[in-house]
Amino acid sequence: MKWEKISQIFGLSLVAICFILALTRVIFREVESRDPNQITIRFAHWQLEGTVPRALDALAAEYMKLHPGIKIEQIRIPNKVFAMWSTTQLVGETAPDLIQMQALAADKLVRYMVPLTNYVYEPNPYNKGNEFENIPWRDTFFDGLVNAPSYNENLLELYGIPQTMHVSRVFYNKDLFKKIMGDTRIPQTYEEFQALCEAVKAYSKKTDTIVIPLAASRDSTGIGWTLFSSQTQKLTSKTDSINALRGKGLEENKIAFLKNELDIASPEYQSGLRIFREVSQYMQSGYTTLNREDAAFYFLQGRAVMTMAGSWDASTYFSQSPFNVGVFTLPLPSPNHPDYGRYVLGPITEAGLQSSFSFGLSRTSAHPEIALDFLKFITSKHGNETFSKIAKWLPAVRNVPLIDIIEGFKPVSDGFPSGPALSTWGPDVDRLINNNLYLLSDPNGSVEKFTAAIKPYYNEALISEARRNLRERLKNSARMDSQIGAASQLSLTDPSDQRKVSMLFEAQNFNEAGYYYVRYELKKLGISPDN
Amino acid sequence: MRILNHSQTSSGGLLASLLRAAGLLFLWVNLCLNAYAQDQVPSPQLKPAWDDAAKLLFEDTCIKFEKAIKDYATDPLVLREAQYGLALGLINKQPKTEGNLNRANELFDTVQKTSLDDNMGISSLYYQGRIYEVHRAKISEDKALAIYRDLFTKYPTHPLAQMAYVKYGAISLYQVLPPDEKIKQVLSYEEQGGFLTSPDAQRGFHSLLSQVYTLQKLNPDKTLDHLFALEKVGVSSVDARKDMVVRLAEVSRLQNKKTLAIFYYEKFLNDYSWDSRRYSIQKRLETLKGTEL
Repeated sequence: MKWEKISQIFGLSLVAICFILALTRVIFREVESRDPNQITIRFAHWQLEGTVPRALDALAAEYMKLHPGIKIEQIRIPNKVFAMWSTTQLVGETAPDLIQMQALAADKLVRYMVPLTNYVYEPNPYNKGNEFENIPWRDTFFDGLVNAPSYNENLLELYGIPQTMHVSRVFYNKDLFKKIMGDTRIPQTYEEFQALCEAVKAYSKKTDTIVIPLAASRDSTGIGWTLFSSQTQKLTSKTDSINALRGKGLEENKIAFLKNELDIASPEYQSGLRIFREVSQYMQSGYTTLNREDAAFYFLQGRAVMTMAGSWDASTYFSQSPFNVGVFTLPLPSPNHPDYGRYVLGPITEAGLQSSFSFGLSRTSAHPEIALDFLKFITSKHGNETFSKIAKWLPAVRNVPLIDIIEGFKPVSDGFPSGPALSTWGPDVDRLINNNLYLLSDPNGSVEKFTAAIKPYYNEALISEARRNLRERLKNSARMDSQIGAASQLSLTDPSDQRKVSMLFEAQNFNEAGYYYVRYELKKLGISPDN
Repeated sequence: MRILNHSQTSSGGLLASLLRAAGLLFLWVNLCLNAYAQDQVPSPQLKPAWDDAAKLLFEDTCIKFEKAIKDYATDPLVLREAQYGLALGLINKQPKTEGNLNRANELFDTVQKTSLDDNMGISSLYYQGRIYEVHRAKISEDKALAIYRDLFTKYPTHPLAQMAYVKYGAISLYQVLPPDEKIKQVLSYEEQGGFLTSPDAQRGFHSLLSQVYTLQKLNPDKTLDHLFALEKVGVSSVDARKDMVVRLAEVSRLQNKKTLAIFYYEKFLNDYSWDSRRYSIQKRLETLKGTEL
């Protein structure tokens, strides 16, 4: 009885203490925000990896030193709740000054974020004294800031400034590697990669320990698909009907499939599936049902020598592994490979990667000019170098030197585009492939079983995707009509709007040319373009 | 005109004079309205509504124009502009309904009743074509084609009528026809496009034809001609500009125009440092220069 009472008092006291602490914090923040001598700029993001907040803290500290009277505050929000949290903050007009950009709908961008387009044509003042001193801010970035979510192609406006770009790499357990392979170099060729995998299997058998070559999950099937697309590289010329040398992901690929110019049963696709299956045998059985965290645990527990992950996971692996971690680029079969070489053009290029981890300026910022200035500071050459060095992420700004540890993330620029893939065209095709992937990856499966399961339904899924794409194109074009009408009307008094009208017409006409082309090809094949 | 003719055929007298005077007054009012409409700038009261429409905020656009229609019911110029603006908002207001599209169509009709020949009248007709082409759940390309034909035949100098010619081409050139008819159709469309003076329409026209000639495998030389013309007019999207330069190089190479191909490959490498095609293009260039030597 007595104990019950004590525990009740203890519980209530705990609640009261928490309440007082929270209240003090809110009051303190409120008082601080009313202090005329103290300007506070807050920025929020979901990159909780240890090194990223540390890098941003370092930049904030440096900025505060340069600008006494300005306080920079970092708000870290878990990924899973960020979308909901940020929407609530934006709608409630309590959003921080700078906020990590996500795929916001156009109407939300317009209502809650400030377009930054006009600022990026001027040089970044924090680049004074370096080679970008007289270069427009946007041209200091690898990708020229033309990609989502920084740039919105419907609004033709830039809303975010990026910090990094990401690549996929093989992370490996250096200690285990040395134990198994001795002083052997890390794999430079596909043959050496295979030899490493075989050596790990042999080691596991010999020592009776559970060690597999590659920890994988349904999120890391990219390793198999990357190898797959090396086998279809030469088919790119068959789908380049517009003579623009573009690689995978084109609508022309769908058309080529429907016209039987591409075929899953063709030697190139079968070879791609064979290499996918081959590498799958070095992963955990049933990996296509596991999630990303499972693969990470497997690797961090030392039960796998390698895992394939994005460079965004680097800080987790580097800081949380009880062993030394190294990184290398997945070696693909060279054109001289006796079996797979005949379909390969060469290494797959990573030039053209899009930048990411962008911050946008919220409309409710009390000090937009200072928030923008901080954004300029962190994305200057010096700022981005500091970020890259501490976060161990690739820089988004050109000419930033790479520290040793991320040298392995340096994008491959001497290479050809990857070939047409099987699984990049949207929900119908993806569902078909993912539902049957076990037939390809599991020990009891085979290329033949997978092909037999996919082939009868593949074109049907492609047609469904093509129709969906046509509807999307029509919707985009239709939306631009009202925009064009309004911008034309506004351009009668403000000629600067005429540029927007021209850009909208250009985008609309390109979009419609694609729309009518796909309809034309479907009709020629006797397929109704409508459902 | 009909009123004047009618008055002239009437015998003299008071009635005839009154009719003549009324006719002259009607003509004068119409001329004034038209003259104003030709140079019509947005009414300052309606600017916030236009700003919303330019930013895709169609719900807000409609609310503001609806209010303006009530507030400026006695000001014919503002009223007409608000009706035009509301129609443009309604075609994209969500959820998209046939009711909204029908109302937009009626509002465009109303705008045209004041004058069909001024900027707003011609624009209204153009957007009626667009309603049939892309907005309705059941699109009607034939109706859109008829409106576009009407536009570029009657108002060939107006930028939207010229754009109607581009839209007309996009629909008709991608119709499935026997090969003989197809080439005749494309050549005829190409020849008749000489009247285009608006850069936006010229860009659309040359881009469309460069694609039609390539994708329908009709004539590579013509593809090149239209790509040159497109380069001259200019393209603002970076991605589209990159594609244009690569296509100029690739089509030149395929046509054995090595010097041209080399020029455009080098231009691409100089202008675009971050693109997945750079290495392929470097290799193309090395091969071409090797064969040139």
